[in-house]
Order: sequence, then C-alpha cells, then structure tokens
Amino acid sequence: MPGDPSGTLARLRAAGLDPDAADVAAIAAAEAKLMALIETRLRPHAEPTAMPASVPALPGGRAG
Amino acid sequence: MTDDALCRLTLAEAASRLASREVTAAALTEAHLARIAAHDRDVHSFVTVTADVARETARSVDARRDRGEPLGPLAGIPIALKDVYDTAGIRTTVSSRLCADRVPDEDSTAWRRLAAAGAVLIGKTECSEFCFGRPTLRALVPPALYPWDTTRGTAGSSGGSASALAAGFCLGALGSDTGGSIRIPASFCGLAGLKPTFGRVGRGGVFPLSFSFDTAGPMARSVADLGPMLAALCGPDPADRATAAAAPFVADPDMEVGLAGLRIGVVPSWEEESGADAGVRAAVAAAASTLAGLGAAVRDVAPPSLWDFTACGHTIVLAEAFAIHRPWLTTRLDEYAPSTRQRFMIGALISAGDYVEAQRRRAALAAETESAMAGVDLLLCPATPHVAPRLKPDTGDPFYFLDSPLLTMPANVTGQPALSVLGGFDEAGLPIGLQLVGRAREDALTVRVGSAYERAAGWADRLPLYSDAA
Repeated sequence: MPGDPSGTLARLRAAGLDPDAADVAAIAAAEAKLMALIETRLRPHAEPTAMPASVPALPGGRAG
Repeated sequence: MTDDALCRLTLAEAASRLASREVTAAALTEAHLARIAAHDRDVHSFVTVTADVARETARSVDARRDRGEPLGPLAGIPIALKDVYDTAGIRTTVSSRLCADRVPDEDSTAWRRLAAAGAVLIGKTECSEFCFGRPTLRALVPPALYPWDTTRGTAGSSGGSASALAAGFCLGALGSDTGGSIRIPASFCGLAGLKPTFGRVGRGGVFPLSFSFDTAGPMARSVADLGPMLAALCGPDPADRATAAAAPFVADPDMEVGLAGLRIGVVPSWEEESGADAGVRAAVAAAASTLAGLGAAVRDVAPPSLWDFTACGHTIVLAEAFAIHRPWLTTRLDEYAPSTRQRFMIGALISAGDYVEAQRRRAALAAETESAMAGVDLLLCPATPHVAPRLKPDTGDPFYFLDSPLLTMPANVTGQPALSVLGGFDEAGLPIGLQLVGRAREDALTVRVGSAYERAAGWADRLPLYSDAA
C-alpha cells in the first residue's frame, strides 16, 4: 500500500482496526523493536517438544 | 487522637486501637475522609471517593463492636481499591472514558473478602488507563501524583493506590500487577507492595489486562501491614480457575525471629542490565549487609537475562491485551487515549506462533530461574533502577517499555511472589525501592524477610506523609 512501506497499516486494517497516521507511525516503529526482541530472545530457544506455561486445567474431571 | 495522628497509624496500630476501643471506626473513617477532602485535589489519588459507603460501614462496625459481636481482622480499617476491582453499585472505570459509567452489579472477589473481614471502602483509586503503561492526561482522570513532590508521578499502573497511601488517605490498598504495576509505584512512593504468587489471590471481578499475567495484591505503608490483607485475600476463587489450588496465607511462625539459616541471592547482572543508578546499587548493597547482620547468608546468583523475561512478558501481555480489547478497538477506538490504543493495537501484529513460543519460553525461564535459585531462598534486587521521575505525561515514545528491561518482569513471567520494600532515600530525599523475590508459593517467607529487613533498617519510620511537605 502506498505510504505504508512496512505494511503496518494494511495488517492493522486486516485485523479490523482503523488507526490514524500517528497511530501507524508509533506502532510501526515499535513493531520493529518488538520483532527484534522476539527474533533474538524467543525464537532461538524454540524446542519442538517444549510445553507452554499455560497448559489448561480441564474442569470437572478426576484422574484415572 | 488528632485526625493527623489517626492517619499516621499503621494498619496494625489502627486495628489494635480499634479493638481496644481507644478509637472508633467512625472517627478513623472521618479523619481519612477529611484528609482526602483537604488534599486529594492536589495529588489526584481517587477516581471516586466513597464517603457515604465508608461512613455506613464504619457505623455498622462500631455498632457490632458495641454489641460484642465477633469482628474480622480488618474491622473498621479504611482501604482503597484500584479502580479495576468491581464494586457493586459503585462505578469501576479502569480510568478510561470507555468505562466512565460502568457500574458493576457484583463485588469483585477480592473486595468481597476484604469487606467480609470488616474493611471500610474509602474510595476507588486512579490507575493507568486499562492498567497499561505510564499515565496519560487523555484518560478519564488525571494521573495520580507523588505526594512529597507533585512534579513527580507515581508511575503506573497502581499509582492512585500508592499516592493514596503515601498521602495518608487510607491504611491499606489493593493494586494489580501485570509487569510491575504494584511494585513500581510502591517503590517510587516508599511503600510496601506484594505481587503474590500467581494464582494465590482471586481475580474474579478484576478488569483484565493479561489473563496469564495479571495478579491482584496488597499495598501498605509497612510490610507487616500486608499480612492481614493477604490473610483475607488468599484462597480459591470460583471466578478465577488459576486459584483452584490456592492455599490460605498464614503468617510465617518465625516472623519475629532472625534470619539465621536463610540464603539471599543478589543479582549483579540485573543491576547492570537495568542501568540502576549508583544510589540504588548502594541501597541494594546496604540491604544485603543488613540482611547478613540478621543472620542470612548472602551471595551472588545469575538467573536468566532481564531481556529474556522482558521479551517473553511483553509478547504475551501485548497479545492478550489486544484480544481483550479488540471489540472496543474496532468500534470505539477514539475513546481510548492515543498512547493506550497504540499499545493495544500492536498486539494484532503478534503471530499466534510467537505467542505460543513466548508461553513455552515462559515455562523454560521459570525452570531456569528455579535452577539459579537452587542455593538461595530469595533474590534481592532493585524494584526500579531509579527514584520517581519527573512527570511528563504524553511526551516521548508510548512504547518506552521496549527500550529497557524491567526489573519487575521476571516475577510476572515465573509467577513467583515479589515484594517491593523501602530501601532508603537518595540525596534529594526520594525513596529507593528494593525487591525481594521469593520462591513460588513462599509468600509468607517473602513477607517475613521483608518485614525483618524493614524493622532492622528503620527506613519506614522516616516516611513522611503529605502534610509534612504541604
């Protein structure tokens, strides 16, 4: 999309959002920092068999 | 006692004087309401002052005491609630224009438990809009101010509760903590604030920011005052499945003895990564010496990088916050303050895969922290890298939290209990907050060590109230 080189506006609109230009500028700048954190601090540690912290407890049942 | 003297009591002192009939709940309540009427216009602690409810409850407590009826441990104690805790018939705004007229039908579980213990609701306190980030002038109410110096803020998000305690408007308060929102304002205001073990205090009726991180907890002017509130708060909440296995809080039986046999870990790498001021580092070192003087063994430990916790925490919180707010972001976007809506919208850009990866990293970080703490009982570190900063709302980057790692985030990621406690003052007289991080479910030990430090250091005795500076 013209004027949206990072595609931030397009992806926000795809999520149903209608941000103004100031919103898009702030979010685009922050997204770069957030993705850098994710790429350097999260993805390198990915283990295929690792369990997440939030394994839900099922209601009502008993073991056995 | 004068009204001023009544507002300077600790919670424990007030409870004792109420029980001995040296003071009535009505007098204690009126003293606090008068102080609020005189000073809250300057510090903005409250969204709503519940004077009528407070007076009615206080009268009821006094009448029941006169009749010799059994009363709860908080009977007649003025308590303030962060305006995220639902209160039946009393608006609960989360400091947002979107919720300006939101009046819940039911009490939150936490307030129901405090009320059952006899607490008097004095008011609902300001918070960052929907509890995310620094306060803004574009929310429903102005930011709460630091009572000793109103050019400074109390930070978010439980800033109103911290401001109210520091100003002498209440004897205890509730905050909520997703990435440090109890401990940071407590640190800036020289208070005690506990983020309990995740799942220890029910969140039913607490407006959410992040389901897997939000933690309800108490704040007070001394660590010892947290105990009676925790005793009322902890336990299973049918409205919050995370509390299914929550144990009651029982004060450590060794509360009044020394710390011999306990092991404290200091974390130099976190001080370095956070850029902690020299004064803050000196306060940590002095606290370590104080704890050693009480019999604890102190040594350095090396848990994972603060950046690992910060990356993990922000990924989860931002994604969950977006999910919570999406219905309003798509229909009522203009009613949010700009900085708030920008923080919520970015969550739309986090992929499901990265969210799950963050939850998996969270489990690994908890295990790595447990391993790093194998030889110690608690961690000692700063709560914040500096003292309360000058308030500059709506300036700078709304995503400032991506630029530096949070000292408070590790305990949110791992779920461990973490206490902010006054650790001294800087050269300008501003409070320095320290943090004690306990092992999961060892909330009572964390409070015990914090209380022992507090008594030995004596800082809390030097904590002035607002009128000292007014």
